[in-house]
Amino acid sequence: MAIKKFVVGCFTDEKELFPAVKTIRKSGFKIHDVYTPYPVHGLDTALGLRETSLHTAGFIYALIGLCTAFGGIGWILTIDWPQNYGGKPHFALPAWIPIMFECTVLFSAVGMVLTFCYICQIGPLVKKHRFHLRATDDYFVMVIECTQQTNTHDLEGLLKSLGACETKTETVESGWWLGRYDLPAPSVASAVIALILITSLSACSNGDAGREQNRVYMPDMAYSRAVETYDDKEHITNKGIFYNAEPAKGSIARGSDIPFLIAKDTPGSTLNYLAAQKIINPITSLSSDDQEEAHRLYLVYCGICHGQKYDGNGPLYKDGSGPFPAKPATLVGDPKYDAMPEGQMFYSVTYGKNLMGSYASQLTTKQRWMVIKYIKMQQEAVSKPQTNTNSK
Amino acid sequence: MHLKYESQLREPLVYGEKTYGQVTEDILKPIERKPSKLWYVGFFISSALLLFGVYSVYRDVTYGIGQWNLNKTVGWGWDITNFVWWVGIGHAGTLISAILLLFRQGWRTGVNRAAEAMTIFAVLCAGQFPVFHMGRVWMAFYTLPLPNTRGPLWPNFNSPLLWDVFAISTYLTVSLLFWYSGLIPDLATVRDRAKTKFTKLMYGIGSFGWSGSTKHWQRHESLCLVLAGLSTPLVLSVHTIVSFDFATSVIPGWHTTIFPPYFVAGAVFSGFAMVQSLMLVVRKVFGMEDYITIGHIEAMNKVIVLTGSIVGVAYLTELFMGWYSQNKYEGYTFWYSRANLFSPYGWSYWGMMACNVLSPQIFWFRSMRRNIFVTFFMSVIVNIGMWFERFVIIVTSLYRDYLPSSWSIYYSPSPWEIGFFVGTFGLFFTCFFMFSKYAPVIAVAEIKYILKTSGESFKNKITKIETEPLDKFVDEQKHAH
Amino acid sequence: MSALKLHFESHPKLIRWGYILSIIGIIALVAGFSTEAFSADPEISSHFWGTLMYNSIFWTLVCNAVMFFICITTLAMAGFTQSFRRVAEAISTLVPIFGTIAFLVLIYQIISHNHHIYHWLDKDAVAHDPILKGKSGFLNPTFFVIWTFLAIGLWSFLGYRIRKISSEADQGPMSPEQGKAYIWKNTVNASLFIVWFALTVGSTIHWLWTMSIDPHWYSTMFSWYNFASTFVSGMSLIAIWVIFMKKNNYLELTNQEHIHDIGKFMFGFSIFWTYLWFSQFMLIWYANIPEETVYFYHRMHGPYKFFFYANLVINFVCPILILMKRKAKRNYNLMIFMSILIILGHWMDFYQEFMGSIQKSHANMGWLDFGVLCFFVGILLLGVNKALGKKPLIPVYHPFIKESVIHHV
Repeated sequence: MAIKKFVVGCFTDEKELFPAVKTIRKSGFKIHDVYTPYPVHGLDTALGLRETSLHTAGFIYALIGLCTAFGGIGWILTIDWPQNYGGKPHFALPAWIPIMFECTVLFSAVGMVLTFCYICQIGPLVKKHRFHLRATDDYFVMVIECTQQTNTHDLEGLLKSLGACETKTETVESGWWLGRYDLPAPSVASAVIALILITSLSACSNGDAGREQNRVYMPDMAYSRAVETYDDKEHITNKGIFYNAEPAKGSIARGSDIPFLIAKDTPGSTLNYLAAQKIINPITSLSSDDQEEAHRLYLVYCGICHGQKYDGNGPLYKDGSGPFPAKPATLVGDPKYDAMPEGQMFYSVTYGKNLMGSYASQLTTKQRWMVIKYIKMQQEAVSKPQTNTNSK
Repeated sequence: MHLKYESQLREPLVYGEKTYGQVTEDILKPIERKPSKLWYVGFFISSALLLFGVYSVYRDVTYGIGQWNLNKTVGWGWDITNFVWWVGIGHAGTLISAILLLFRQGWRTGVNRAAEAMTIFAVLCAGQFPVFHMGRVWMAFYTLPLPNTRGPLWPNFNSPLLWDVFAISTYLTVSLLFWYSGLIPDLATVRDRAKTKFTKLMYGIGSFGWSGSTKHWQRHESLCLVLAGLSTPLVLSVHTIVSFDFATSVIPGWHTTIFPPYFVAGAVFSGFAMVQSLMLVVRKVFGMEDYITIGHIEAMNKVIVLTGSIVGVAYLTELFMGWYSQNKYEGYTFWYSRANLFSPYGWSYWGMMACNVLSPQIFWFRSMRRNIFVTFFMSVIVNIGMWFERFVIIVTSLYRDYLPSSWSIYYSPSPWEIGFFVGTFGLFFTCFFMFSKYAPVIAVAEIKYILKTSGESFKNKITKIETEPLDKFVDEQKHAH
Repeated sequence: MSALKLHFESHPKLIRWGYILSIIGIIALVAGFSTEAFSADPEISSHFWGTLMYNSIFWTLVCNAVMFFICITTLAMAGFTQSFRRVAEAISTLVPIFGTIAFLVLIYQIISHNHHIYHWLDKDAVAHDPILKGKSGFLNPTFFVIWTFLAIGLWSFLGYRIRKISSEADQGPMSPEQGKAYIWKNTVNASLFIVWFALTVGSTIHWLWTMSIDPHWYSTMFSWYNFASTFVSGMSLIAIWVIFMKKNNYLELTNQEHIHDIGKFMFGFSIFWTYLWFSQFMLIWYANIPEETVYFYHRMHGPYKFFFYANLVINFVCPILILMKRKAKRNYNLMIFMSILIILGHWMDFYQEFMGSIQKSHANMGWLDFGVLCFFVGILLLGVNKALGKKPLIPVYHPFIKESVIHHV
């Protein structure tokens, strides 16, 4: 290792520093460097340093950033993934400008800082030789490189006469500017990398280690613990959440039937029974398939009392010999029932009438209306025989 | 980048008989001493707030953003309000260090370091809101244009929300680089004065082996200058892009072309107010009255009254155009939903007007600009007002949209929405307390740079030059070169 | 000891060119006046009046922007401007002259009910158009005249006061107290100007004069955009004059450093102008609302296509590429070239802004446009030449003048 000798002179004021730099350079000495606590204006030119071209590097990085963004977005949105966004052309340049600008700045700034660190050879864990610790505080430290001929004693005297408050001679191994900080840097770095590797590996291997189900950290779509949009209102309220997405009172879901809003009469009253006359059957006609289905339902649920022929003489009554004591209504042929409004029939089927029980749990709303419509069709068929369509 | 000669009429930027050594001593005092009780109290309060915020966010992530009171039309509520508010605050630091550097304003040296740190913390806080608003935060990486096997599936580069991703992340990165490259020489100063081995090691790592070489300083100046040049349009672009989030959409009250510059002015306005609040506390607690002088405060108040007035002109322009356009939707939003005090959210519009436009006008008076209590009070008022501004823009435009059947009920936040906001305050102040303890709150090297032109004791010595006739002065200058 | 050259000798070349250009201009004006001004075809008469309008308004606002520069640097307590502020002041003396011309031209439109330019002057049309009817509280002849008069009058008056206060710095040395009082007085008057500037150029005056040519169209950015346009031109105008003075061995205290700073303003505000241009254009393009895109559609795709793109090339691409380098901003000849380019670029921007709305179907920039331009440039040369001679070129006793001497970038 080569060893170099330096004479160090410390100044306290830039007013003394500038003439000193001039004199030392005129006397033929080589100033290694001047270490200052702040950027002294004009010192670089006084030392004969070239202007830095760092900003040119910045310009180049900026251009790279601009081209990367333009090329990337252009390729993605016109070739790889041409989408229609709001009817705009695929080559929608005005909308790309913000990101192009941001990338320009980002590339330029990051590139310049890295370049700065590289050309100054500074970075975390880097240690440089310091000739005087107060160079970062309040001293302007001039360091002169000695040759074999240099008389260090005289030089120190010259510096003193130029206003230096402190002088010294120091020998340093050359190549020190690449020296590292006290810590053994590579080992630290490798320790960090090893740590990262081990953590990530163990995270990966976790799934293979056992066969039992592992803990789920992010129960994403599989088991969403988030509150669902149309969750039960009470469920949400219990969690202490305010949520107003409840449907308005009386709303009817799409595709569902209009509800039958008339309630059951209180015993002794026929108010609602009569009110039901006004309800119109939502089903205005039955297709042949529907007729078949309605007929089937009639036979299953109604025919047992009201009879296959709608005459009120089903197996359960059988002209009085069956188990049922009273005669069920004659649905076809009795003027009372021929004239009965469908709504009122619906009331009876839904809530029951006299000895007949409620069929609401056996037949859905739609099925009830279907059966009623079917009965009405039979009544009409009898009163107007020429339009008889169903003889089953 | 500073005046080489300064008139005596200008107020000194550094008071007292200071030497370079004294400057170091004063500014590094908080780092080299044990923190005061006040510091601990503040630190623990802000950490507690932070923890509450973490819990609120935990609830948000586990249960989904149904935890918030966002409703049918107000899909952006406190979260985006807070996001824009924090981003706005995050504008002052880079403005001070970049634009004022280019404009050669010497007073920025006293406040730029803390303001830049504040910027970074504020942007950190801001970033939380859109990310957690995503609901499934672990999918956040979908916003990045990573090559993928999902289709390929790319983000929509034509969307202002994606522009935001790029703008905020670029801004955070560049601010961090700018701030840290300025910090390196000062950390080296701390390193070289360190007494214990541990601090020497830590600051040694942090200071990148800085030695103060002339060549390095030359490059450093060039770096800072170019970073300033890059940051200046960057600062403008960030809030511009945030304003595009609103202005590109066809929603009355949002779609207006003045949004970009007026958002930027508003951001600078609120940012400076936050700097004022912090610096007034810092100068008091750390005894830095010599470096953060009344002159600094006055200068910042001038910026506040200027930007406040620009914002005022923009508010009135918008209001005027709400009428002038004769567009019934614009008119309804501006004149019924906002400017009408008795509409559901009228209070927020007039709160904004009172805080942002009317009250800063007292800074036209010199005595008010130089009054510390008024300044502190006003800085808080301005930040409240700027929060109102974002709230007004978001909520009053959304709660009654084009379709009256979807007009929503009154939007007010849930405890967890508030908790999240409070938590970001915790994050902000925790970071700021850490910063003020472990890094120099004033840029040491930059103060030294201006000391001999702007220091009080040095200014007193130039009386002779000041009274000299101009032509003689010019001659002397010619000989000196 | 060298004496500073404080007195400006009237420059023969300036006078000669001033007269030549104004005579060319007057010939063009007379020719246009006789052939076009009272033509039965409103297309032709509007072409004449429109040309006169955009030229007079452009030059008034550019000179006024120079006064704005003086005021804003006064408020920012800038030191470096002191060594050349008298040149800027001389340019700003033209505000009343150009302002009067603009005022007369505008008033003539009102008196003659030229509804081909200002559609809202047509009472029948307004009565049948609910939108125009709704706007009539703002777009009506009375308000137009009063506000135009106030705007131009107060710009001229407040500018005159600032120039008058500036002269106090020639009288004798100031004690520190006097200096402080002097700065304070400057600050107060400058802030008055700025407030009035914000209420006119920063908002209303562009809506009234320019935006109302398309009475249905609106953009909140419009005034700020136009302000940026005139401010950049104003800075370029200062650059040309300062360099001209330097080349004629005046302004010893001004050097490359100052020109460099002016160059930075030109560079920075060219980008700022682009920023505003982009924000306005992009938002309208993106939202794609018919009542907004109507402004840009025929400019982008119709006869004004050339001007639309040339506007961007001259006012954005050229300044950013050429003025980015430090050396460019310190090169006097290049700076003069760039200044002229920028002024012409923004003049052309005003052309497409006005004529693009007045005659949508065809663009015919020709002898009349350049003739009227010559007229205004001629007046400018004569006016500034005269104003420069009236005052010492350097405010010798200004408290900040020494900062301007030692100025390094």
